[in-house]
Amino acid sequence: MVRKVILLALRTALAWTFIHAGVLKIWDFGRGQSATPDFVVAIQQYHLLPSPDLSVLLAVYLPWLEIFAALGLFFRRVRSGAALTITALTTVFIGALASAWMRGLRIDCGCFGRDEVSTDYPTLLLRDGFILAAALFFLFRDARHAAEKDRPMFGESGRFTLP
Amino acid sequence: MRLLLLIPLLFLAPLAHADLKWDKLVQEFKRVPDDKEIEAHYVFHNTGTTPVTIKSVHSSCGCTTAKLEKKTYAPGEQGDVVLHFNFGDRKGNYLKGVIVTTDDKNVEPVTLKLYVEIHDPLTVAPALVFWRTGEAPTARTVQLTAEAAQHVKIKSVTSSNPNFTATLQTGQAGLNYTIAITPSSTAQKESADITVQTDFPADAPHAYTIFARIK
Amino acid sequence: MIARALRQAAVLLALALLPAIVSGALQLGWKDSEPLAPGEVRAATVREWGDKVQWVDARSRDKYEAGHIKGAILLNEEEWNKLAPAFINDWDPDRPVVVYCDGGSCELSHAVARRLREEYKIGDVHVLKGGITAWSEK
Repeated sequence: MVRKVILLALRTALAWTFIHAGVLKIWDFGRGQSATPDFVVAIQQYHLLPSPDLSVLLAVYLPWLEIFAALGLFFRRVRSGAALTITALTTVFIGALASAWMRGLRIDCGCFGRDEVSTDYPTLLLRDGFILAAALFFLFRDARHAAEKDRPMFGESGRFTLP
Repeated sequence: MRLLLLIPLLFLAPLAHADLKWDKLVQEFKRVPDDKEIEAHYVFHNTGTTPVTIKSVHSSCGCTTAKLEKKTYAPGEQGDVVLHFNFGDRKGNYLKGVIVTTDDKNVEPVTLKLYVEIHDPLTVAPALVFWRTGEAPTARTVQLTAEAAQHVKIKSVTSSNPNFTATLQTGQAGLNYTIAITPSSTAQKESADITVQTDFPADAPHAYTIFARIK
Repeated sequence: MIARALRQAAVLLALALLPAIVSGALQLGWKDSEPLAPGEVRAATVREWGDKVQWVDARSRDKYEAGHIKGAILLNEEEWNKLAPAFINDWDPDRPVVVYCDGGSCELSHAVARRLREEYKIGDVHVLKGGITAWSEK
């Protein structure tokens, strides 16, 4: 029982991290305005995408993907897909950070819109490393469980069963 | 079924209670450009029941750095974040912010604000005068005003280009002056830097530049 | 096992598309109808001015050197005293000056524009709304 609670807590923590991250990339609560323009600027600082239009598309799509993947962790039907998505996202973030670090880029957060900030790469990479570990844990766990307990969508009575 | 288990978990969090109280979140200062930098201390206390670790002290600008002696503070312990703002060549009113985040989800990230008014003891207005080629070579006047609290005397006014004359008129010694700049001719594009030497501050008297251009 | 995870991930990716499209359309729509602050000008308007524009980059030297609008002069507050003379020498009173920085909520361009107007009494100074980001789009 305790194990179940701990696992649920870990799952919630992972989900909360991504929901929180996603929401903040959409709306700037501090200033009551859209956070997307600042996120576009942040993406461009990495100099990884070939065109500014791609930055805009990514800035619009990524937060929602984070939110849906996070919520998906709680629904058995899509939970291994959610864990896979989060694993993939975190891997990409780590890759982007590592690449920026190697090129000596200073990433602007755009908080007050003033200029550059000293990015603490080691801490960010460490944090993302833990997130990746948690994501991988759930990926293998959920995928294994889904294989073992394959519930049919409709039970023998013909009624739709809940996840 | 699994979802129901979530609900009690969400309530569990606030019981172990963490809290950071700040003496002052906002500080204001008035400085002159020659001060070059400022250091402001933001003191905080851990008034909660659990230790708090400061995760990041995040400055919005490369000119502002934030320093913290250590990261973890036990309940009852006090610490301070030192904000260091380098003026560069800034003049005017500035707001520098630093966001402090902790490892505890119940402690909201806090923004420490530093307002600095960087004002020159002597205001030179305008610092640029120009004529278009062919325009009548009439004098352009520049007003120099010192603050009542700090008198600034003008020691000399020199032009880098003999084709531009700069004459100083004293309104009230130490308080306001006028400099009239006249080109000998505006037939061609030319430039001059008018250097205004003052007597303040006494240890390293400041010189101001007025740009004179024929465009 | 992986195939199932991939299928489920595809569902999530597709589900996320819907709100993203709606939110994206709203954001982009907002951008164009957002009122201009005093002194600001939209990229579309500046494009009409063509070659006349004198660009001023208000960002840090690092960012300027990493990439700037063609023909832009660096003039930031950090090194104002050192950089101003170059700007003054280049400045043409018959051409509009447009100051830019990163875009989003960057305020550097406004600070530089303010100083140009107040200290040098240069009237024809504008701030590019959306910064260099807006200029490099489409």
